Amino acid sequence: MNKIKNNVKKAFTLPNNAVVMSMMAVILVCAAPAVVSMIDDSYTTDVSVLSTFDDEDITVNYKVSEEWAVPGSLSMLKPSENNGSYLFAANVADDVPLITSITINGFEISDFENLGRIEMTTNSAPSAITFYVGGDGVTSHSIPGNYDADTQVWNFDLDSVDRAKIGSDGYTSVILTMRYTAGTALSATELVIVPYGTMTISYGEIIIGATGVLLLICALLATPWFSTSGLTIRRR
Amino acid sequence: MIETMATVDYYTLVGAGMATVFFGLLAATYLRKKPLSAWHWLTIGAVGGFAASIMQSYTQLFDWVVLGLTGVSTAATLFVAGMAGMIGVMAYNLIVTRGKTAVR
Repeated sequence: MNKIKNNVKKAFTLPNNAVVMSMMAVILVCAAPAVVSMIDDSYTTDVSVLSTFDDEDITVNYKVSEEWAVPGSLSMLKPSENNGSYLFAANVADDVPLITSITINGFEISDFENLGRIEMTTNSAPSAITFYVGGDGVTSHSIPGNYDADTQVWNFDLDSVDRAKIGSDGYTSVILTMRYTAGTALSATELVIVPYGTMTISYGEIIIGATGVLLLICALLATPWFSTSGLTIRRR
Repeated sequence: MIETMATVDYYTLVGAGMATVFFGLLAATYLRKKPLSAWHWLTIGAVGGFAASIMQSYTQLFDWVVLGLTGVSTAATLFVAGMAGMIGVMAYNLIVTRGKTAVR
């Protein structure tokens, strides 16, 4: 009985330091490639980064009860005056409840080439917003937006196809159209267009790089000349 | 948010680890010259599990190694350098100490 107990105790006794360190090194050398072998393209995430528009000679028109209003009755702050985003506001208070649509024309397509998302904040929710990309000889491409009622923000996420079309020579113009239900009691119409670029964070590469650095540090510490207490001239 | 879509079958990995330990213990019954401790079997099991994981997606590991060797990815180059360094140092230590230790 005592012999069995002693054998069990012996089996769980920690081996000497050199053996323990060797075991840890073997596990590390096997675990590192095992972790790396699991990392693929899915270990990335796209992050929206606030971007800015350049000032462009855009025109804004809106319809009041299906009649085009005087363009000058919608005032505008250009990006250079509004932290890189456009701001539109209706001047004539009486017109506001009767607005049925607002159309913004004249953007340079190059302004949208490196964007991943466009956000539009408005204090009077339109029934629909459409982002058109068009040009000579090509059918206009409509990008549907998503509306968040809580934040009153419409956003347009541009996928790779949208970005490819925006970057091609055939598509030369961008038109934004907002439609409102006439008669809805709007106290004011104010619209801010904010551009966002896309940045990709590659977590996979960060993990792989960090694993490589850890292995290099461990390799240095495994040599007879380096230890956690520093460089030793004489071999340990 | 990180989306993890890696095809890891954890049951396979655990199974591989357990099978490695089992066969290791079986082999030990024939090799009783120098009894090995439970820590040795844990190490053998861990190595078995990791080896199974590598075998499951070895093509991906190969891709990263190629990216590292060709210098396309700095992170992969660091990984390759780290692996080469660690294996090199362990081999050197094993040769110098005549198989006694891989880390000094």
